[in-house]
Amino acid sequence: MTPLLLVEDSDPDAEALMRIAKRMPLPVPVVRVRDGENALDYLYQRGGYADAERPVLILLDLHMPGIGGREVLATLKADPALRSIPVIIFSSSVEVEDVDGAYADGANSYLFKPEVGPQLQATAEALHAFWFKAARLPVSQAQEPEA
Amino acid sequence: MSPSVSDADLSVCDREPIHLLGGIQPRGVLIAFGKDTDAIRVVSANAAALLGAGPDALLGKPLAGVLPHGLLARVEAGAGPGPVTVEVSGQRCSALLHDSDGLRVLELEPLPDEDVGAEESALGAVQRLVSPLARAKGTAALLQEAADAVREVIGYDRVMVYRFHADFHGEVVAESVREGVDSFLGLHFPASDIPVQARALYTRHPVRLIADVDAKVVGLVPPLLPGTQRPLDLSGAALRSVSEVHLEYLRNMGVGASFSVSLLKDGQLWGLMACHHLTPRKVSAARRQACEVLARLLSLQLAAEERGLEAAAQARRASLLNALVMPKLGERTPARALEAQAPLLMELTGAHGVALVLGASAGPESSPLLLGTTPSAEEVRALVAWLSERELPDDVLHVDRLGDVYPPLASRADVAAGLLAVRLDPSVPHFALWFRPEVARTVSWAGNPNKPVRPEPGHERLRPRASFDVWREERRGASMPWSMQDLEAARALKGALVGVVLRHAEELARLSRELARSNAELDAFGGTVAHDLKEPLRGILQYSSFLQEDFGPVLGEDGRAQLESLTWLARRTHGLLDDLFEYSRLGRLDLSWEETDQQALVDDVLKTLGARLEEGRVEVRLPRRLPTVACDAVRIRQVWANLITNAAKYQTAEPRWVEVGFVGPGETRPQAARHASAPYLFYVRDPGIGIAPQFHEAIFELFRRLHPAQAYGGGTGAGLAIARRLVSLHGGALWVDSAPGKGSTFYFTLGEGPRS
Repeated sequence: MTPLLLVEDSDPDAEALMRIAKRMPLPVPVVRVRDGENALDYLYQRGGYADAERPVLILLDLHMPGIGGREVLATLKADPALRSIPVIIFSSSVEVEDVDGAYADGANSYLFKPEVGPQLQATAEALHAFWFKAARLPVSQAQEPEA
Repeated sequence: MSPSVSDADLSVCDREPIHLLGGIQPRGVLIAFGKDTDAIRVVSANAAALLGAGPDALLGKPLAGVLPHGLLARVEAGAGPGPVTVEVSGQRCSALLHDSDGLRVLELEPLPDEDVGAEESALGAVQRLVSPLARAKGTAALLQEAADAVREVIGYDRVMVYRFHADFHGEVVAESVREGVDSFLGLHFPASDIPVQARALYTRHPVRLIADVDAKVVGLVPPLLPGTQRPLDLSGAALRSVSEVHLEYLRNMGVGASFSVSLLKDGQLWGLMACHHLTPRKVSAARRQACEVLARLLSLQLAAEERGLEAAAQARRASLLNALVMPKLGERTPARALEAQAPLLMELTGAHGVALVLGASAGPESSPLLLGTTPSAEEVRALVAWLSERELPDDVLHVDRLGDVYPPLASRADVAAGLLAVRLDPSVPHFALWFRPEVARTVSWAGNPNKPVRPEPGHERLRPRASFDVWREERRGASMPWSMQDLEAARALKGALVGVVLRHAEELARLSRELARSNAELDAFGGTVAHDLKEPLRGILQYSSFLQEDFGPVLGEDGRAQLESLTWLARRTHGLLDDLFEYSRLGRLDLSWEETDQQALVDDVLKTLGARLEEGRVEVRLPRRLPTVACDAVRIRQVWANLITNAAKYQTAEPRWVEVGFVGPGETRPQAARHASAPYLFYVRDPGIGIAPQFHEAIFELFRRLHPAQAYGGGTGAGLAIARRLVSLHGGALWVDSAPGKGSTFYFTLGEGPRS
């Protein structure tokens, strides 16, 4: 089952989202990694992620220690094998540079991480309604680059 | 009686070979002889009177056979230090010896009666002359003492000290006259009155005596030297006859005898001691030499005086420059520092007016700083525009006839005949300008030398008054020329200013670097720090909500209350961080100005606050429609929102209301807003709890709260600080008028538009 990959360094935020996902329930499992390095290892099936499944959707925090969300995003979108995976930025930053920069690097949408409480639930529901009900996600695995 | 002199003669003055006139004055005898053979080669036509034999008999003879035994040896031995008194044919004479055209030239002058037997040594005369000099204080007194001393030694009617200016025109700067003799003090005369070659001669040979202006010139025999085919060069001869033009000039002045001594400073002709006697009068060689020594001493003294003056001027300049480079409080721009030093600035170059165009006083809209007598601000601005288009060598322009190069000010010679302009900055048109009026206005001459002492048909031009008028005419529309010292001072000022400006620029650069650094730090705060600080708070909130969700029922009343307090504190801290973050970004805000309908802004705010206002039963009063003014709509909306929210918040008693209004141009302003000059004054008024006067400023400080955090809806205390910052970014002001229990009125104004 292809999972939703959650890249989030904040434990409480990650936990809150997992709780919400469980309650919904989300049609796909949520896999969480805590930073950019682990995200890339997961996607390239390196390190401890040799058996990692290709995610159907990526929820990506921007500001993380070490390799940040922008770098992960740029790496993915520059890679023909991975760039079709929709990436949703999930960040508490409202900086124009962050928002515009993320779209420029190929983000599929940018969600503002709301205050703790009911708004988080609402955002999660909106995300669920759009990506898992209204939208069609890519089905096929990535195109092999032509030889 | 000499023939009268024509204009043509005057015009050739400059070219007249005055050292080759080939004649001497009849007060002595000249004999030139070979250096080796001592055979007489040239002799003056009047030789017989003293030597008992005429030129025909003397030429070719050895000198030893003509003069008393041993005389020549004595003269040879003594001629270095000065004249030697000898006896020739029973007459006591002074003998002078010098070389010219490869010959030795001996001049014998019978001593005037008063000097015979007096045997006055030159040294004695000098002694008498010098003692008053030592007492003199200041240049003017020094010159006066010197003039008096010289008159005492030579007994002439008038002794003047002429000083040459930079353009070689002369001025009588001191004078000693016998009772009843016309004064020439203050007279200026054109440079042509003492032509170039005469000045050169005066520099090489400092003493000239014309004992009788009517004396017939005595020719030399032979008139031309066989070797050179020109007359013997008499440059170094004391008996040299002078140009007929000069004699006529003297005669027109009513002068019978003239004596002058050069004043040299550093080898340059600084001036003359010019002496006139109304009747013919001789001055013995010894007295002439005494005057020459005095002149040398005077020159040294003058040089010392000038060095002293220069040192004093330097000190003044240094103090001026010091004042410029040591700005008080670190607050003063070069322009401000210069303004404070205005009097010094004028004195720096001896100008009558100064205009400063720099810093805030530069630019097409602003007014240059004008000190003393200057053209109008508009004229100065136009002049600066013209100057900034020109190539200025060394960034300095100095003219004493500004009208010639800059016609717009040709008619303003009364103020700006002379201009000394220094460009202070290569990149922007910043200038210091010194002005001088035309000199004719600043110089007057009280004397009346038109009165012909000896009426005779003379050329009109050859009179002091005519000279003075010629000079005045020459200088019409021209100022006193700027001296080397003036230029030096101006350049020094520029150098210092450039230093100051650079220092100032460095200071600014340093400040902006610091600012950039602190902005960067604020940015870092805004970005990372705020994020990193908020992160754990989010965590606290999350876990509180998990606790609530998972264990709410088992926590009980107290547990739930504690969790709520925890949540409230975390939210509050989170809010503070958000405010701090916002406040930190204000400094780097670019406002987008547009004409904004304030009514629409306030309506929008009221719509947003509607529920809260209703809940608090607060009535909004709008006495009249608000006007449209230029501002950044988003930011000013924020200001309105903050003020209206506060006004609604800090009320307890019923009825609660908030009044939003303005005072327009020309309308009477409340006492608390008298100082505001902006056309529109906006206000938000409430009848609430009010604010004690001691807090009227404190409430605008970041996070400064007057009430417990939980009271009145628990603001963070950043709202008013942010509002004030936003208003001041607009070039406006925000303040409060209030008293406890009397309600509050918050006033604000807005600026004109983007500050360039």
